[in-house]
Amino acid sequence: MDRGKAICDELKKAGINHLVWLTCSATHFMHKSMLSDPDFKVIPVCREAEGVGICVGLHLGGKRTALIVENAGIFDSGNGLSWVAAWEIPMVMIVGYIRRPPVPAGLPPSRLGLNRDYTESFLSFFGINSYPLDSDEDVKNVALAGAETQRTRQPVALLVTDETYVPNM
Amino acid sequence: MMKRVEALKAIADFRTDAIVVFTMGAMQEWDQISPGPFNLQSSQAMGYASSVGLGLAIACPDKKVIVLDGDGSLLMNLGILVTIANEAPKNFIHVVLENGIYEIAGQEPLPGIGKFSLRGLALAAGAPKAYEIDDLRELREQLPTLMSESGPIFLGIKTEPGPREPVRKGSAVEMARTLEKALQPGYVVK
Repeated sequence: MDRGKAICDELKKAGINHLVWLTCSATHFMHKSMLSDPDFKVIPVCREAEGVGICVGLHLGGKRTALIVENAGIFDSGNGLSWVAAWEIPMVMIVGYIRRPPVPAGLPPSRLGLNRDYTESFLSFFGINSYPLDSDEDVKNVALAGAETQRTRQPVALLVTDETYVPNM
Repeated sequence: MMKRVEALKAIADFRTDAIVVFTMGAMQEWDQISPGPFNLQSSQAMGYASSVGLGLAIACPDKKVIVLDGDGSLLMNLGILVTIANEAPKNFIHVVLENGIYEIAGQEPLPGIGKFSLRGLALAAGAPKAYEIDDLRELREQLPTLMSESGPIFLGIKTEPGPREPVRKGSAVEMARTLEKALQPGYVVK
């Protein structure tokens, strides 16, 4: 399965026609499909919270949106997420898990662990449910997320892990 | 320089049925000066009125979208200048009321005030049209053209700092609901 294309097809079936995007290594596999698909309006942004605001405007203007960003950017967008929750804005979020390397030997361990360790808890603090999008089997979660966000009028996240990429930090 | 309320009244006179997203200082007066279903108060997340306005402009290409932003607010979201220029919606006007201070929070000056130009930043970000006006008469003379020109347009309006007053917040959520309904096909303005 070309999972990137399959995800894009499911997004379209969910009525999502606008993708607000800040590039991320975990979701890189779907970038080619989404950028080459004429049915999508893809809006690249400079900062993830900026994208949250754009999604609010798109929704109020009658468009269904997906925000495609990295989990670290989601942490940066807390103010925007509280706003989306308060205004009850449906939004599918495709969130890349970026796995940071362990702390080098001899240094004190990080109290917060790895970014992926607290992604779900961060999202759930804002009332955002999350589902995995890590396998061909998980592609069905796109339809689930699309339906849930319209029903609940709360964002729903799909979490994409990139196990192969380790930033050189 | 002019008072903020004078600038807002001038804009209201040429608004017609544009969608107006307003934040910070403009929240004090706009909805009273120019009420209607196409108003949206953006107060929940400071800095993002311009982002919401851009989303609306993309979603509703047949409607003019005006953002009444603050200079401190824009500084929190400068990347939007690049995004606006990149998307280049023809129906978008980004008005920034520049009083040089965080008027609502406590009247403190913006960092670096006097050293930067928001119009300059907009142009450097790729804005095709960026203007700066500090005279009320000139603003009134230019507004008919600005409102009919193809955008996106950046318009910095220099205003006098106002007194610190309690924030007059309407219900932003109610406005959002009203706007959402008003933008649906078949909606009739009463």
